[in-house]
Amino acid sequence: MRKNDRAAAPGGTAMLVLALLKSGEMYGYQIIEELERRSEQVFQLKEGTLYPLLHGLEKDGLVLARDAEAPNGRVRRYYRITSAGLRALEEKEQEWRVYARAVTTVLAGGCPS
Amino acid sequence: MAGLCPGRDHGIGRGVPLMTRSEWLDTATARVRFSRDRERVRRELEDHLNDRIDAAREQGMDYPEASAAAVEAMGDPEPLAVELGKVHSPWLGRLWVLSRVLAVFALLVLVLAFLSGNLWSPLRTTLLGYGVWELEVPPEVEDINGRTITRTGLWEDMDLGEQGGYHWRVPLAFTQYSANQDTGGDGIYSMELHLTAETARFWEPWADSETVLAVEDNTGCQYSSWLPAGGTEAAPYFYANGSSDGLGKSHATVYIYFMPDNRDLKWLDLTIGDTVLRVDLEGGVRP
Repeated sequence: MRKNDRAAAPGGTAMLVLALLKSGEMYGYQIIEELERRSEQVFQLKEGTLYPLLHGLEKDGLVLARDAEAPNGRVRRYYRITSAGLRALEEKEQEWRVYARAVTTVLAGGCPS
Repeated sequence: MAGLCPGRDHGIGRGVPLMTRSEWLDTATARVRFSRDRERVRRELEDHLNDRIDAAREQGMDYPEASAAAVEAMGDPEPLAVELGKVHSPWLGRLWVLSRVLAVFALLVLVLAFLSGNLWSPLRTTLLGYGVWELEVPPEVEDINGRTITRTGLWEDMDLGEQGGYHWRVPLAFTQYSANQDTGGDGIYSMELHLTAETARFWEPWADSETVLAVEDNTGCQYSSWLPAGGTEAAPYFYANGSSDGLGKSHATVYIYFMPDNRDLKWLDLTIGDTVLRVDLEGGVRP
């Protein structure tokens, strides 16, 4: 499969990033690595996509950022999901399920009941 | 931005203009127009770049190689700059700066008002102790004129009750006799009376309003508020100093000079506007 910078689907990359942050706070580099690992190398997020997205989510109040010292001594910017972010994630997941079911049904040649 | 670097081929980014770390970071953050935001974003991206360099070095590259590889892997900074510029509106930052400037300005105004003393007298009272009244009974010693002072009466915490919208109290009053040993004549009988008036209407403190005070005793003797021609031994006389703490509590110190031959003194009526306060002096005006 072609590696996607963008998950072209309802919810898109924002949904994936929020889903990752649901499991705990992360910094940018970690998000890219974790997404790659969990998607089994399918999604390779680029910095050019991730940071505008993260900063937009922060501006919208879906994630909160804080600077904290990492175990290696570097001060990193960690992001964590807010309750508004969790609600947004739920909505996006719902949209995604509808979309995925529709695609699956069409590919199978059937008709959605 | 660095041009093509044919002489420094690290095996990566062939044909792509090679940038140094700081060039890449400068380009990526160039459109974040609010400087604090820009610095913060730059730090975050630099941190990311450092993570990439560490990862490249773990794969066995030397530092220049790892650095170039990391910059390469970060991608084109131009589109990133455009997107970051959209997210980071400078107006929020400017509003923040403006609010700080306004806060400093407001603080300055407060300090000036505080120092000028026209405002915030309660604050001044609290912080600097202005207008804190000393309620102390002076010791019985010779006064500056060589007279021996004898305390003849002492009252504390006399509650005069509510009148005319104020609650009146006499926290301290005392009478004293100053014997004049030089002349051997009658000394001076006087009283120092501390009077407080409290009101919830702090904007109408008694001592700051038009203070009309008259003193009369039970013998019908009216006290002059002007120093008598012959001094305090010539006629009954009083004077008062008043001040307010700005919180609705006023305090006045009333100095009353009795006639030395007034042997039947029992009470004083203090008339303040329409309010008459009776101060009972029964038993203790004389030695």
